[in-house]
Amino acid sequence: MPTTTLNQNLLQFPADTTANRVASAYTMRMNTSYNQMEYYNGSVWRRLNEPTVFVKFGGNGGATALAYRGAFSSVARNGAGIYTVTFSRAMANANYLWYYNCTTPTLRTGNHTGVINGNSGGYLVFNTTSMRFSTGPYSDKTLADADYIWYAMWEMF
Amino acid sequence: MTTTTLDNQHILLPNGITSARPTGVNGGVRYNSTTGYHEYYSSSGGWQFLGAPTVYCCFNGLTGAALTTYGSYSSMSRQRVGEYRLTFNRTFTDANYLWWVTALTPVQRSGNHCGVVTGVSGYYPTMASTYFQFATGPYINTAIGQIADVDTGYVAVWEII
Repeated sequence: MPTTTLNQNLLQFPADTTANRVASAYTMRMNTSYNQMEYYNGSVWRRLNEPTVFVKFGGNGGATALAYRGAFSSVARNGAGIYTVTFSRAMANANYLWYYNCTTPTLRTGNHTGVINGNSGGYLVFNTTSMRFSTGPYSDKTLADADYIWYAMWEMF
Repeated sequence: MTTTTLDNQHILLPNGITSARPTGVNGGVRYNSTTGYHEYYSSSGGWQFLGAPTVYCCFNGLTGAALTTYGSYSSMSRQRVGEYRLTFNRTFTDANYLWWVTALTPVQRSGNHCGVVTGVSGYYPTMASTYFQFATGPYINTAIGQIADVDTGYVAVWEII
């Protein structure tokens, strides 16, 4: 089994495949199946480069979380093309990045991957415990649901 | 040159400037005092900072030639005008991911080229297990003829396990 090695110039963490993981809280290792660093949080393995909050959800007619990571609590559809992601804890820091992207069925026109800043009620709203955002075509100011939406937020502290 | 120090509160990692990087070994971690970031080494991706995307590429949009790469990168290609493919050096097994695309475009070209042209039939982003394909062009015109090359493009993918 690989071991941790202390060198003068670097600290070498154990490097091994996904199949050879040894789960123990606060463990960190190099996963050679992915060639990325990962840690065990006491219940699951996570990568060091994951966002603070991540969720993939279906947005058409509702908001059903399909996959999520980190400080995610829930997601809600507030109206056509308007969604709110709620965090599992208060974000105490004022510095953050957000990201979202989506897929849209081909029968809908326009590009649904951005913020509809020109639409009243469709602006971004960031609170300490949630973030609201909207989707819709770039070419006009209508709001429209997307089929699948990916949302991520990085808290910078 | 510094050494690793262990105590009850933390592990103090070795630190040094970029030019003082030691020979890389899988799982090796150090603090880079030139960049101000912790970095690790993988045999397939070289030295990367701990927050780096799973794969990243800065490329020449007119030719598709890669300029700078990170992580699980294999190749970059220009499929046709305004359409590009980033190929990974391994199979991505997880269905959850983020992608990011942005670009520099000369002012004489009309429109906004900083995003993915998802509204154009045939130009939706395609995430496969071994590549990510995307298109660039003006946001407001979804005609196929409006797909356009960018001068310099940037693409990153995060695999979420």
